[in-house]
Amino acid sequence: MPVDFELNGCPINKQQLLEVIGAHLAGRRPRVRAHSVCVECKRRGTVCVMVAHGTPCLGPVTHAGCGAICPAYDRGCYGCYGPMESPNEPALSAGMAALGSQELDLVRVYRTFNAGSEAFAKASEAHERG
Amino acid sequence: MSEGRPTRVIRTDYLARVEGEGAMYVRLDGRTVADVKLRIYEPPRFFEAMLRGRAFTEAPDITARICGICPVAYQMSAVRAMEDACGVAIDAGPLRDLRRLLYCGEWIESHSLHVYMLHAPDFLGYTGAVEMARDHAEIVEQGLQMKKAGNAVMTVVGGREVHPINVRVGGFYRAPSPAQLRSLVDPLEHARETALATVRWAATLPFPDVTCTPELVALSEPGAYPIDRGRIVSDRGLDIAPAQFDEHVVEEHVEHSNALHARIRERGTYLTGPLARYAQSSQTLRALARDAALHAGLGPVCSNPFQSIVVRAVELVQACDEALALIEDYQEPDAPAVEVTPRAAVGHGATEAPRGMLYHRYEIDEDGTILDARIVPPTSQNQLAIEEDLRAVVERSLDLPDEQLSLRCEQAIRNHDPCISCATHFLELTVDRGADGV
Repeated sequence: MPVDFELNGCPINKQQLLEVIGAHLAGRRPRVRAHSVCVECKRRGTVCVMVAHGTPCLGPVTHAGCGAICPAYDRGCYGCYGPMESPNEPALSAGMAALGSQELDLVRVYRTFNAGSEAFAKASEAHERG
Repeated sequence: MSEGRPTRVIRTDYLARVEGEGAMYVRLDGRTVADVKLRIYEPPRFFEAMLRGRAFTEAPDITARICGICPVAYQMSAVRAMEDACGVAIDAGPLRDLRRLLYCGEWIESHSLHVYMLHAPDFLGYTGAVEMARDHAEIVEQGLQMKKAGNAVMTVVGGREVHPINVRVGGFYRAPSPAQLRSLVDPLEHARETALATVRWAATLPFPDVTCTPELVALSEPGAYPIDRGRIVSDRGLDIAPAQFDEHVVEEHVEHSNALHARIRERGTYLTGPLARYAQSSQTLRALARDAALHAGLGPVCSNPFQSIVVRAVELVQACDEALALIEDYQEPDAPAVEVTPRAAVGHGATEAPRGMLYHRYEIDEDGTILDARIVPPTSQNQLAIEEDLRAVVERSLDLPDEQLSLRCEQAIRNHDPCISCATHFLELTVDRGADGV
């Protein structure tokens, strides 16, 4: 089945959905940013939960769109929007390991939502091998 | 003696206005109902298998994804079961109040969706809410306005309206401030007025004269309308703790459904949901909801499944009124969650999803890894009762032409707000891939 455009997220964001439908009706490309959740935290004025609280967070590798809800509620992002355009999982994993995440924790965080995406699958398999 | 008794088949291959993919099949030999099937062909989704090997803390986030309409029910049954396994009970205080508030938000959004968008078109003679809006814009607007109020509760307390992110084993990640909750008062007061109007309106709808008396099973808690906890009680003598669910309820696979059929071991068919909750706990409704039910002409028990729309409307009043009371009394907790330390154990949790009781059971090891999971959603429990309703409806409507009979049968299924996607998550698939039979 041909796919014109894929919206990330479980659930998807309704503003992004309206943008995709509107863009389709207007015959233009949808403006859906592929940067990370981190950018949304900065825009929202949320203090980084990883830096300030030591809470492991998938935000740096996760696709924007939710509005960075989880960090605003004092929890780490758990990746339900899948990977952003250029994720650097090894760097993030090292950071999370420094905060106490075990190999099994890392396998699990990359293997929850969008577990089959190339970036997350590679990361979870790397940690499974240890 | 089948000669001279023409066979008549009433079928709908793709049920509309239900969540998920299901079909209905009724065969009549002459004036005898020979076969009735609610076919659920949505593929199973294996959630119970996916949970194995995951951390006990992940169950609320993963099981929420079973349903986009009632994710809070999954989260609440999951956290109760995990807390039960770990020897923690959040049965009072602001954390429990917040859970009830969040759950009220879900009841409001789910019931208003069903009453107005899925069920009302049946009574008013439309194929869907969009067609209905052309002639009854105000009804559709009322439904959307009420749904929005429910969504607002879920967004403030849960973080977002679909698959909330703020629920955790032990409580919440962040407790809302009293000021945040106060922002919900206006929309909820408005929704409560609309809900009262909904009860009055629903009571005037034309109901076919059908009586169904399955065993009614719901949670029951002294002095409170059941939502988030309680014993599992029926009108035929069942009175058990959620931990005894397995001893009394069996689930089995039948060829025509991808959802397991649940039955009470001793007696068989049973029904969960608004009709069961109302029959057992109407005396614990808040005064406003109880008066609304009285004025709508509902007795202590409602045995006509078509009138479930009235009972749902009464529960909308209940949920709005209770949410407002919880907000008024809210004291921000000292901590958003209590500590929950895993241990090797089995835990059980049962709560009332909008469409009926939802049971979770987990076995975890000493590290909190899930070894086994069992989830029994309301729709799989209600399948047999829905088929019995279909049989009763057809027997009373034999003289209707096929098209009208078919619509009435579909309505009989929608009476119970089935969530087919929820029902098809089960683990063991032992299907005889023989002839379909339909």
